[in-house]
Amino acid sequence: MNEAFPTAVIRDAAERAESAQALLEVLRQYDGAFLRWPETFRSLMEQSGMSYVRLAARSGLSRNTLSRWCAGSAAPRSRESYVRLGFGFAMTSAQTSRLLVRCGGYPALYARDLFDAACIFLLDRGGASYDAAEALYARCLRHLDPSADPPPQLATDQADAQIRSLLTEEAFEAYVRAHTADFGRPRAQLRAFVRQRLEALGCDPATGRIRSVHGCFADGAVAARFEKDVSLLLRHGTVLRRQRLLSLGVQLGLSLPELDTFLTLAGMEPLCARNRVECTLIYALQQLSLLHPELELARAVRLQAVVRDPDAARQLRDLAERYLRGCYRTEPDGCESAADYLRALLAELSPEDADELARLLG
Amino acid sequence: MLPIPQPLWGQWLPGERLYASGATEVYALTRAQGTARSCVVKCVRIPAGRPELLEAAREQCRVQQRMADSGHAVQILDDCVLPDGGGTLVLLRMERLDCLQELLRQGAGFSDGEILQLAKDLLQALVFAARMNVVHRDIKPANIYRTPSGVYQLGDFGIASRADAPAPFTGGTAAYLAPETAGGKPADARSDLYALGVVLYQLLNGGFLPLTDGASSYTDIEHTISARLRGRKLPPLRRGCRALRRAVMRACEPDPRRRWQSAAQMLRALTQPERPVWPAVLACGACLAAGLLAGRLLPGRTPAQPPSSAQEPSAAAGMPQEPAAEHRYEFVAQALSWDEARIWCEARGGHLAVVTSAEESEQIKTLLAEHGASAAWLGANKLNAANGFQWVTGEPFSYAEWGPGEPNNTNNAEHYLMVMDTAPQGYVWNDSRLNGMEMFAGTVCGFLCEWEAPAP
Repeated sequence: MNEAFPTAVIRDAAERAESAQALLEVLRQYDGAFLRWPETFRSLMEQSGMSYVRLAARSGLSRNTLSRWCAGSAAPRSRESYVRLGFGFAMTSAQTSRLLVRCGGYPALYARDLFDAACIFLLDRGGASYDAAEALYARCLRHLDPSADPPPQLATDQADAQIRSLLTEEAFEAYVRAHTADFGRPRAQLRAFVRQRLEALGCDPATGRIRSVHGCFADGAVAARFEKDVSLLLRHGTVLRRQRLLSLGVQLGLSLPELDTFLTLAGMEPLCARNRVECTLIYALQQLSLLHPELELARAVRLQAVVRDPDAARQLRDLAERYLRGCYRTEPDGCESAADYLRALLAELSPEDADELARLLG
Repeated sequence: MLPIPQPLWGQWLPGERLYASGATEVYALTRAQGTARSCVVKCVRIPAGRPELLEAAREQCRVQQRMADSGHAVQILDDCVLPDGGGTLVLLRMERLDCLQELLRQGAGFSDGEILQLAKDLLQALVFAARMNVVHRDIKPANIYRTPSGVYQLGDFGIASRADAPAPFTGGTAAYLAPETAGGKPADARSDLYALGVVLYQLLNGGFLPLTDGASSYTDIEHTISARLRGRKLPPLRRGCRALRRAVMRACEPDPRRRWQSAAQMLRALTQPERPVWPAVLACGACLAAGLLAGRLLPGRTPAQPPSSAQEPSAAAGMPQEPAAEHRYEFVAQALSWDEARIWCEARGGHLAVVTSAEESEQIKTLLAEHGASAAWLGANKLNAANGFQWVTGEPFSYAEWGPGEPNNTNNAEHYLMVMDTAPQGYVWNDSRLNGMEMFAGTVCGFLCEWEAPAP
């Protein structure tokens, strides 16, 4: 990978692009800087000096799978494969999280998920295998009490720091026993964020009436194919893979800063300009907020009706007033949502980029 | 599948895809009629509106064609340029060869003779490149190939440039990059020699990059690469013939002025017959005879055991010391991290020194005092905190000479055992960080290795 261009520089260039032509020039200029799995994996193999046999033994993955990844004819699909690679390459938990987020499009290791917590502990202690993580998880599972429902004691980053400071498996088991509640309510902030956006979409601005979350899918405010994903997220805190999450974000009509927040709450990095599709998305959402302020205004008005946090409500009120006073001019191109704008952009991209973006839009 | 007319060049049919990376793909080729040599086709996709990329691909072909005359660069047998949608597809037919990187991944072992052969073959390629004023700039196992007859060839001149041309961008692979190139200076023939040196060091180190082994963590590997790019010297090699070891160590010098100045110079050093070692043999013989005599005169003491060839101490590291009954200690004056020091010792058949009695402690103190050492690693850590400090050999940690207030485990990060010189107490033990030896930069510091003497 070409590290000569920091990601922030590429993102800045994408945000400043004023036309599809300017975006294509950004994509062309930074072509060598975009992340690709085969190069990343080959570089890891090169540096480790490990043979397929040795890495296969350490990670529990098959030798043929590893050689296919190296040849670039396949890439890992499951989150488990990336975690196994973390153990195989003797990475720390932070390095494994980067691998999960940047290469796999999965959320980082999450200290409030018991299996992830076991992985964080064993990866940072070093010298352990994926099988050891599974065994530790199985041992700790009996300490959890599903009927208990006390409030969590630690914030996620505090839990992460505590787990990293533990030195023995006995200490880890004692931690699990003492913090059962912390493993009970995953991704509370993310769930609240999604619930509010769905409620805002389903809110009738005229009457102020809020429909149920699932009402949004029934009347087509959000595509029905997301209903199962959203249900898993809201009920169990299960996070979708990054591309699916971005797709949902576009459906929910999130702005650029909101989409960054959405990803961060899901345990991922904000939109990454080193990915061609995300670079395009950064450009599109930035353009949308400049050319169609009425969309952002409508979102702010709807959100005001559902947010409960007084600070957030005040920020939204300020935003709405600023738009209304400013009398921003809107481009008369018939664009009614972020998805509309992105669809219009497809025609101007290269076939490969357009295909990927079309997949994102469903 | 390839969007191209088939068969290619009249008789070649593309088969399975062997490799894909960015805009490049490699497919196996089989001959439509008969079974001749096995070939591959490399396809480089050039997007529309990028004439400079097309020109770069053509330049790569030209360089590689000229280099093929050396006999040690991969030969392009056919080439063609085809339209591909709005862009262009460059096709290059080459012989199907074994890639060194793939051989390493398959776990192939390399004898000393093979490594020497590889060194000579690639140096001949670099001598030829120097004549053409070309710098490869990305020598690494993934760009080295072995022909069916066992000849090694250099391939992929994708970022090669003329030595007098300004560098187009900072390319190359971090693990093989010369420190001065990483620092932003333009690459020259000496940076290619550094990269080749690292490849040879890796082969002599069991396939692992310098200062790492199979137990190194990802962080350790990252640290060792950045330490090398900052100019850290490498520990001496213990495998390979003397000429090869010396050639590799000089190629890996962080300072380009102390490196081989040309491939021809390094090649000469490898092809010249080694100087006779009779004086050294005679001296060794005299020592051995004296040792044997002492052994007979002093019953109960094992005579000094000269280290095996795989454990021969370097001049820089100091001479082996007079042994106790079963051990031989050696002080190595290199400021490595504890883990790197452990690897250094274990790679030579020993381990970091273990001290289990006052007698052994006195012995190492004397050794450290002789070298004027301010600090040295010993072979214990407490990575498993429940059991406290543990010797690397598993012997009970029953003897200790801690300094006042030690071990104090500052910031919960001091898990490694060090012996250090303190003004009033002399040499005492201290718990330290993994890179704790950095505190003693500018003084004589390092680590103590220990070898078990063979049974009498």
